[in-house]
Amino acid sequence: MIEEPFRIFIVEDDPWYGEFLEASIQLFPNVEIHRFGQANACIDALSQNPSLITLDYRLPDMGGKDALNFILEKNQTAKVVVVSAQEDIETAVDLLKHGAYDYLVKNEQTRDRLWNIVKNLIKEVKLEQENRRLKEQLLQSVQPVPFIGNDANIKRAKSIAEKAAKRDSGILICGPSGSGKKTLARYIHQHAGIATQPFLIFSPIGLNEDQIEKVLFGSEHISSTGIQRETGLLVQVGKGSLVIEHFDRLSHAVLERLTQIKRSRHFYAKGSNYKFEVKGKWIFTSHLNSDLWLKSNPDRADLLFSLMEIRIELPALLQRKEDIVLLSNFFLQQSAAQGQLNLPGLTKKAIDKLMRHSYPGNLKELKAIIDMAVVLSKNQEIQAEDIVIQGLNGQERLWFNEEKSMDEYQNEIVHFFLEKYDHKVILVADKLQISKSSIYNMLKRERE
Amino acid sequence: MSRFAHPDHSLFKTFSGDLTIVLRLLGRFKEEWDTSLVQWKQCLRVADAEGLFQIQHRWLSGLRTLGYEGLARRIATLQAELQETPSDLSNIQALEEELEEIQSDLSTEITSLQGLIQHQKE
Repeated sequence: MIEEPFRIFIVEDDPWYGEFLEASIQLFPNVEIHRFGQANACIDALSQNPSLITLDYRLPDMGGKDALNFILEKNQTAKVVVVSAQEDIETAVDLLKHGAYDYLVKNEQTRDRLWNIVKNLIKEVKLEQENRRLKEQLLQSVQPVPFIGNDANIKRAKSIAEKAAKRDSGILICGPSGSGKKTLARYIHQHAGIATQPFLIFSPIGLNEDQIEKVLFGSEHISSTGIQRETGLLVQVGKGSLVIEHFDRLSHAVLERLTQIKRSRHFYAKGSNYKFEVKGKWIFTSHLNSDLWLKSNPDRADLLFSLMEIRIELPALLQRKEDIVLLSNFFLQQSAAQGQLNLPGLTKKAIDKLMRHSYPGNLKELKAIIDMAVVLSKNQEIQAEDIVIQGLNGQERLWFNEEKSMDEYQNEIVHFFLEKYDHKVILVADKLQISKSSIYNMLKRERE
Repeated sequence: MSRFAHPDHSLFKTFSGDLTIVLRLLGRFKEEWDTSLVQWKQCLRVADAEGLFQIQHRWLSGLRTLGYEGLARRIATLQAELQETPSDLSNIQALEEELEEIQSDLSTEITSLQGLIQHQKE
């Protein structure tokens, strides 16, 4: 996550002193400083949401108290530190009463005091941001996870997931990339009644055996300052759910260790006598079908069956085409809500275009297409031209994978060219070297 | 050696001994000082008490920060007098020589700092 810079406004009519303050504060990492010579210029820029404003008490266009009032009226979250050349205790008390965060006199200690203020404020703002992030995470975890679809395989997967959620069994979710494995895992997590507990995801991709063990099981070593114990995800997850992606990439040794831990519900970290209790739910995922894993690991079927008693298969989107419209409308609502737009739906031509694609990227691809369509849409409804499908591979795959009659294939080809050439029938007829009447007849037949 | 390069000087401490920042700030202060001193002399010539007050007010924070404490205290006292009796500029007039001394002191300090930085680089 990229950290937002800590934005500071310096309002100071003395250019030299402004520069001095800027040079002092600039020593902090990740601060963004804006300088203003007048109060009005600062007030105009308050939409940039500064975290801190240092305000000179005597400005050419406004007195310090008035400037303070204007600033706090427009932005109640900004902390305003009044910096003044005069040591007047009454003024200081008055400004603090009016909402100033602090009052500094310009002297040798100004920099040190300001330095402390900035240091504490950065800490405070970071805590606030962290708090907000955790609240959002918590809210997300208790909001119902939608797992939608009318396809029989999806209904079956959902039903198994709901039952599995209540059991203490290991779960394996298989399905091609982007088919919704993580969403189903979250659905299980919620139906297990542990929605407010952690939901952690681990992927072994890019990690070597040692790193995988360290991340999952933790480690312990003795340093000059004592025992350094790092807990792994198995412990960090507490009573929540740990999703272990690409289980097929885990070595037999790791799978064996997980099997033992699952049985005993405790383990010892490498090089440690400290006993860790394990209470979380484990959900494994893979883009490989479990049968394929068994084929390549025929002697270790025991690992699969002891770790993952319940297996759920998710189909590719191409195998549940009836859900494309339902899912498109769902993603459309989500995307429109995010952008606070009012988009009632998709035109028939847009739906036709969506239905003709093969979605090698499955739900993720459909979601990306809809997000893009929402961005491109100029009208209230998503039009066919708003649906941007990357590359032709999907189309080609669709034509070869699906078993269709020659007539159906011909119709697909004609539609593809009609869209490509802006529905200019004569041009399409010329490109495909067929008569224009055959195109009109085809369209007429479709309408009937 | 420049007193701004002394470990006890507040500016040196503020910027953790980074003399390039100290030099930059000193240079900027000198520019401001040169310009405002010309304006100050003009105000004095035409007995513009308000102008004098504004310029002197602007000097205070810089002088204090750079360690010209004595002069800053004197100016602060004169400011109060200036507000009381704006027609009497005699005490203010007496400042002129001292202000010019600051100008030459700043020039000396800057040259000294430049030499020091050059020496550090070599």
